[in-house]
Amino acid sequence: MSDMNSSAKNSMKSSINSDAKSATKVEKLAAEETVPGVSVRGLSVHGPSGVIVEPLDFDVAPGRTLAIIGESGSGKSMTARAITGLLPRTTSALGNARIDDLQYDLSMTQTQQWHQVRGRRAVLLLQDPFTSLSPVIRCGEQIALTIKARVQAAGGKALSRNEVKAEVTKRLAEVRLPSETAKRFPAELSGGMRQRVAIAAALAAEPRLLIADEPTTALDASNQGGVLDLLRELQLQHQMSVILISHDLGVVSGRADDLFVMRKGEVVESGTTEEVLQSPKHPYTRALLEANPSITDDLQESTPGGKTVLTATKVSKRFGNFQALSDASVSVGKGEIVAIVGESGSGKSTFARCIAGLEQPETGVVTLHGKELSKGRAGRKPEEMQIVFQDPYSTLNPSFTIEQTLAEALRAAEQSKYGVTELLELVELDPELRTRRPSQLSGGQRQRVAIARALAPNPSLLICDESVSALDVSVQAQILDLLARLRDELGLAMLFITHDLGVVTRIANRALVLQNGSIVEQGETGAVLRNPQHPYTQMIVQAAEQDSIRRSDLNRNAADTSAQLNDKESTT
Amino acid sequence: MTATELMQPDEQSTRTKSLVRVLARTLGIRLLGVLAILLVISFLTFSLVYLAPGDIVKNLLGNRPTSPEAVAAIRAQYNLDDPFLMRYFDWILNALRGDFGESIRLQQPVTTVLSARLGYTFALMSLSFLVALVVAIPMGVLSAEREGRASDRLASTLSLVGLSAPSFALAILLLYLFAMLIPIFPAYGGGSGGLDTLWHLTLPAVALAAGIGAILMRMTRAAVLRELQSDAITFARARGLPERDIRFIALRAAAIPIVTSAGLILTFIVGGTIIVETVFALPGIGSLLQEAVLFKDIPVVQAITLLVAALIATITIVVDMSYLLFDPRVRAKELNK
Amino acid sequence: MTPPKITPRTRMISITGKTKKKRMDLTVLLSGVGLAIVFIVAAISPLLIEAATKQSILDALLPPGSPGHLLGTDELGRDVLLLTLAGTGSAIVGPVVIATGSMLLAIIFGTLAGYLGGTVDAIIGRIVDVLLSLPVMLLAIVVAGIFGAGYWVTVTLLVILFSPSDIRIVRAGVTEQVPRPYVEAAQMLSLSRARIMYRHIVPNVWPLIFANLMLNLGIALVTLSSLSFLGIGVAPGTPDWGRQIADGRSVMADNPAMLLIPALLIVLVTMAINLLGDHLSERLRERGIQ
Repeated sequence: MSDMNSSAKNSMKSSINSDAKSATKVEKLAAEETVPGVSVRGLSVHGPSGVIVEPLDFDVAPGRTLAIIGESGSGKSMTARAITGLLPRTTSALGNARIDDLQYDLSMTQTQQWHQVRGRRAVLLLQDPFTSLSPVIRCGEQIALTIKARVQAAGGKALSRNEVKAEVTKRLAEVRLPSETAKRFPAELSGGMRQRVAIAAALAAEPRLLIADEPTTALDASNQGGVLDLLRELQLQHQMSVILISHDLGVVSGRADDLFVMRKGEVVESGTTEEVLQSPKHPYTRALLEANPSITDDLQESTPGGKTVLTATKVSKRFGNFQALSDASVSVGKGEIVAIVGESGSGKSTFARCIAGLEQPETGVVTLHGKELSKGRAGRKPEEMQIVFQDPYSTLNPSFTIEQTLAEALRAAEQSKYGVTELLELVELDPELRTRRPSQLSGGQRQRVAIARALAPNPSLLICDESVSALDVSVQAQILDLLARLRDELGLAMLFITHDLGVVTRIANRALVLQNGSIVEQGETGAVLRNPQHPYTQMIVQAAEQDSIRRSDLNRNAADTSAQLNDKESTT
Repeated sequence: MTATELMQPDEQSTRTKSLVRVLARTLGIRLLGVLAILLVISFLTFSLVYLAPGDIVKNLLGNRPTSPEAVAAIRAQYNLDDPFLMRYFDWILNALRGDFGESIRLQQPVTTVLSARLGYTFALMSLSFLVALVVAIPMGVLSAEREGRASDRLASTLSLVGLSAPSFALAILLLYLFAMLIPIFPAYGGGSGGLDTLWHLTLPAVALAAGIGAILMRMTRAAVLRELQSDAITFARARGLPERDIRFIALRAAAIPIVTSAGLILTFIVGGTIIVETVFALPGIGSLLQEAVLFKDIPVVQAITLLVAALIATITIVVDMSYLLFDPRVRAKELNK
Repeated sequence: MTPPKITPRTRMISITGKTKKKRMDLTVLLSGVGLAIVFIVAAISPLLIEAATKQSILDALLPPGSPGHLLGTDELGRDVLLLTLAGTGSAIVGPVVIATGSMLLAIIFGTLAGYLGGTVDAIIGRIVDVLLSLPVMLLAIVVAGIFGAGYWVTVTLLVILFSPSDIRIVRAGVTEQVPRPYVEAAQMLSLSRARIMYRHIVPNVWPLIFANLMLNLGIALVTLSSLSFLGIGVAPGTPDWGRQIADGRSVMADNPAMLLIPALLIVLVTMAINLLGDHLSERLRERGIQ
């Protein structure tokens, strides 16, 4: 792999017509001509509006993992799909690839030709385990389909039912699932288990190359590490080549041998994982590393909060038979950020929504400045509290202009000290953007408008419900900085709901941990994260430490960083 | 860790039991709901006699002479001197026993009139449903698989024509073409039973099937297309499954909405028979209803309305239950309730 | 265990699919121009009724192509071309009223049910269930037939009978919007419920509403003409396409144009409505996605 750097650089020069020489689109080379492993030359992807991925070359030897890291729009997923011929309809690929002794052209369009590649040579594992398995077919049968397809493609004798069943059990055991899972439908399994079934179904093809496209992004943090380590273990066992696509630099350490950092369709840096993580050369890589929130980062100073703004006492909420929240209490002071931490289903959002009045809790009292608030929204005032939601794509009414959205929020308040222009300036947006609609803004810009809308009535408390989770890390860092600045300048009390301990480290003064609807631990952020008492907190802290970048290893370059991040936020 | 969430083998039978319980509960709730609807419908249907313009007695007498004796007989026969609600309960209890009173126009028990005609309508509905299923579903599947190609465009255009052509216009066109210009099919009547009836029902069934088939084809196409574009299919392709399996996975998932659509179009058939039977002068329930409405033969109208409401209620329940039986997602959700 | 994600599926039936754009444009253009002409004829058709209903025994049952009578005459000697043109009004105006009227009801009640939920939703839902438990065609025949309803009463009846399925569609569309953050953000601003429903949510359901409005227009045209074919909703002797087809059956051998022309017109106008509707709602949806 020592030629990785040079080959990546060569690829910038390599021209599109490099594949013209191969007359046959797919062919088997003589065994002695080749070395085992994957070799890709001149891979590029073209969309209706130009080049999506610039030509790139790489090799992945058996048993080795190449990680491709990038933010949204970097072309990392397109690269993964191009290798297996599964690009969206309006895009096409050029270049060629070799997996062991099979040489093929990435531009081929015949399904028949791709059948020689997909399955026994290369398999693509998708991001979302909730959609990648068919919801109406039992898990065992989905694995069995791959087994039968493999045997058929190899020209072997069809397996008997019992043989197939035995292999399904074996494949499930490989991913640490009991054989009963075969009888389950995907809907009956948790996300982590579904992704294990998907891995079993993928590996049943016995591929030489496994491409995993963000395989753990849809999972809870405590599941992520397990699934990634399992992938690594199986890879070594089967001596596969693996390409791991991720947006998260934190997860690749110790799990990938080589690393590509992509940005806007180009590889900006490549090398061994340790090299890149420890001494990143390209400013963008450094910026990414800097922006990535990590539990090992420096903590917020634990300045005691000012006068208590919000107290919520013994709040409980049921949904049918499901106790979403039981007796949760929290208080937030002026100028203080309190984080509510938990995995999906922990009740953290329910807690926030009960406080905000969007859900009616069965029991519990919420007071603001010592005054008790009504349950539910009726009788509440906009200047009491506001929420910034998670999804930047649906947080703004798509049929309103930015000005309409903000003007409405200003009218809703009895009195506000701002105008539309001031609000936009407050969240560091160009007031020119006021005439745009949400669809004409980037994700980060939308989230800034959402913050501006929330600040319009001049609320005493701001609730951030996973407000930065859907953003790219570089944008995430900017929004976190903005929120911290607003807290300090406006003396806002802030309740920050998140699953990400790295984000907690960056922004929160205090933290409380929710598990299955109950608070299991709370205290100063430092105490909770550095010296966790409850076993559950210890577990998630440990998982986060494993998946985070050890920033102490890095040479930072602050000036470069900010320069890189600023042009990231250009309007799409 | 997560594996502990999986149910143990000995829980398997408990699971089956709870599924049966959920099925029974859902069926019970649905049945109650449908019964309530039928009750409302029956009340409205019963009120028809009293809401219809003109004098009740006159309406019930039809074109018989209005002698004082006849009037008295009618008043006694329909218990017109009883309170309204009591008459309703009388009527509904009789209806439950299969007694819908007497047809004003035909002077026969409604049940006799209906049973003589039910066969034709049942045959016509089954035949057109079959034609629609056999033509529309494969066409929808193929159209989805060849999205954007010439065959897809042709199929889509055909379905557009089918959807836009009212069944009566199509029926007359078919009559004109295949019974008058090229007389290979009979123009009128229900035939003498057996194959002859089938022969007589062919054109009406085709006329009826065209519109509903077009709807079914579009729904099938949409369902299959959605599945073909799903992640599950991409992942199936990505692990090298042959096209046969890809098709199987897509169709298995699309089958659920297709079955629902098929149930839905059954209810459209019920509405369509009225028109088609009238055009082809078929002695079925539809033409009976049309005649009964024109002659204000209210007992017959009431009986048919209730019958159709009961039929549609049954279809709705079957479709709803099929979701629970065939869609693991819905089932998992119900079991978790 | 993570609850299964079941994405609500909004049923959007697309006739043409996303096939060749260039090809579609010509048919869409033709549909648009054709519909415009039909609407203009419909607007002036009341002026033609007098001329169209002029009877002349001498000219009875002339075949198509006769001098002065391009499409021939019927058994009363009425000019079939004039009759067809005069019938455009009742064929078009009623369906337009039915489609918009039922959609208006659906916007009001579907939004109420979808946004408020609870008792309001339950009451509206049960009424819808009852109305949907019988086919529209059957209810229309029975009610309009028994009460001997005229054109506008029949149209009003169809407005009511068409609305339940529309209410369900709008309700589903609104329900899909309600959990979205922009709606909750509006709730956080303590905006009035009416403002949230009709200013925030309805505009975002508009592509769905419009697609169904066009679909309903076609179905209403077919339904109304089917009813008048059965002799319901139109007085005898009135120029009307459905009626004309019914009357034309007895003179099919002498003047097939009497029946075939209005039948063809119904099919073509409905096709044009569907094509145009599909194209426009596709455009609306694309604009919404951007």
